[in-house]
Amino acid sequence: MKGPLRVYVLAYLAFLYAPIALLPLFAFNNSTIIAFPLEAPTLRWFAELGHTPALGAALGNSLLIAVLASGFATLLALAAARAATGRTFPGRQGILAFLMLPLVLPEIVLAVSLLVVTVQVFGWPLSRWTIVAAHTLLALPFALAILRSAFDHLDPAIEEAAIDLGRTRFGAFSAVMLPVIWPGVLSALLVGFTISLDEFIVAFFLSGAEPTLPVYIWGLLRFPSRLPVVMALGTLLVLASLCLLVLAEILRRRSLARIGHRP
Amino acid sequence: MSMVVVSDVSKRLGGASVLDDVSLDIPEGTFFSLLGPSGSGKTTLLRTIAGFETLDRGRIEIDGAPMDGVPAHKRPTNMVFQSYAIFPHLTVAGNVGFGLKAQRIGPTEASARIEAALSMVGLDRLADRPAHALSGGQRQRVALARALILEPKVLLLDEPLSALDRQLREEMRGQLRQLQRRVGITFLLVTHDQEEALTLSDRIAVMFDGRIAQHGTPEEIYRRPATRQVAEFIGLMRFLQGVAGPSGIEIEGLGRAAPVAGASGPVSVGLRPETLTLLGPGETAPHMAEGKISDRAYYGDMSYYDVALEGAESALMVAMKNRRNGDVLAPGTAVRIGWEPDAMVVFPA
Repeated sequence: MKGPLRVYVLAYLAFLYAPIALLPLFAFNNSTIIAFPLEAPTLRWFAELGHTPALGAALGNSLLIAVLASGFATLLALAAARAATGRTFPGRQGILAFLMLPLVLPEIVLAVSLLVVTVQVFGWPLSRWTIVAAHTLLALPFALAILRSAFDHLDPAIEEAAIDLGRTRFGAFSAVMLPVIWPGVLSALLVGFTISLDEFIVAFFLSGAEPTLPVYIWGLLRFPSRLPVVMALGTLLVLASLCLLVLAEILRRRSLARIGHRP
Repeated sequence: MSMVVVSDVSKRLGGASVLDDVSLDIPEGTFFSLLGPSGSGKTTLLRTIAGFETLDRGRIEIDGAPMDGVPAHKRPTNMVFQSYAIFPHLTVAGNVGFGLKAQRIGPTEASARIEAALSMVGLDRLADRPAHALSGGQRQRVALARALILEPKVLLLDEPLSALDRQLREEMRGQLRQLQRRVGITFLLVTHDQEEALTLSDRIAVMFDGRIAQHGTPEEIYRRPATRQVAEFIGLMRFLQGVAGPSGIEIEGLGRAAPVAGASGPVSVGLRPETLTLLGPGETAPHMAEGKISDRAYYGDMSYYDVALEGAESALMVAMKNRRNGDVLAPGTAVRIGWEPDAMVVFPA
């Protein structure tokens, strides 16, 4: 890359990521007003985070929901991807398209209809569990797409080879297929986790008295004096995401290397 | 004694008949090949014996025991898959010992058997190598060791050499034959490669369109093909048109040949290139024809000549050894061809 192309790429990246760079800048700035020029550096806003029990509760909710929703979505997608691999049955295409539907539905429509179904039709109280169910639905198409591609790269004969060597169908799946598609399972879990963690609209509609982190942050924004705290929180979240990303990549490379793929 | 008996097996898939009333008897301890073009049903037959495909009609017995309702993982067969189906997440030893786990064999006995199986295929040094790091030939040996370690009654091989390059294929072919002799297990090989079937097998069944067209030793199948389809599939054969009657066969433009039992009406007379000789001046043979070389293929040790016959529509192919300089004839040369009566194979046209 040289000349104008290089300038273009740098500008592109700066435009994408500069807003995120502002986050830590104001998180360490000793002023309640988010504006230049900067005041003295401070850790005050981070300290204040520690004194906000509601924040801890929201973070706990978010993590619990993200873990459960990504786990359920991955399990369901694993079953669906397995069923759709290497065989045809009536309605196969239709079922797969139906499972991918949440990907293209506007989230606001999904959120409203889920609210109606939960409260009006079934009369369930809103809680973390309703969000787990909704986020499972949202993460499912992503997990399914990832796992279908993992199954597509699998030599279908290895399942028959395991059966031929004395395993049952289930034994062959757990002893041979699962270890080989494991990088895909990890990716599906991670993507589901991330989707659930930063999902706002559906969580906002379904959260009731147990807000997730994004819903809690949205609540904070109504108080201008709390804005630097949000910045501090955002800084920590960016750091956590980076760590998660690196960890996931390490795990993925390691499990790919085990089955002989170059990362 | 028969190891595998296939009786009247039929199978339809999506309206098409994949196996059509197939019966087969595979003697114990033989190297048996199913030979046929793709789509002939040979792989399906192998997979029904392994238990991976169900059959619509008929029955399969292995070592006297009926296989109806016996699932694949309980059958006394093991298979070498076309792709070898190596488990990429295990080591070589892990792959080879995989089947022992399902049989609840203790670790001491297991490691001894793994070692024996690996040395049988010459992979003892690679036991701890990850399986995904193996070459094609090594994968094939792992697949063989993995299947043979369970001492199956029948080893099923689905095109086991087709994934290898030519040189390795020929080397592995020899090793496969030796291996079968050594372990004495019945081998059932599926192949579309006639050379592979001829060199490896004790017996061959040739399949077309879900049926067995012929079944016999390699020599029987090569020398006396039962149908013209078999004759065209195996080796090279050229055909002359003729009419068979009680007094003999009138071959187009060439005169009369001795009568053949059961042949009457229009027939094709098949001749293989190596059964024909180019006659020198004054030489004679029981059957002779004159013609002109229309084309030549030079193989170094051999030359194959297409000869257009005088007074006939058909052309013959003659194979000649190139023994000394000047043996190779140029296209356009006039030649006389001779052959023995038993070189001719007669099919109804």
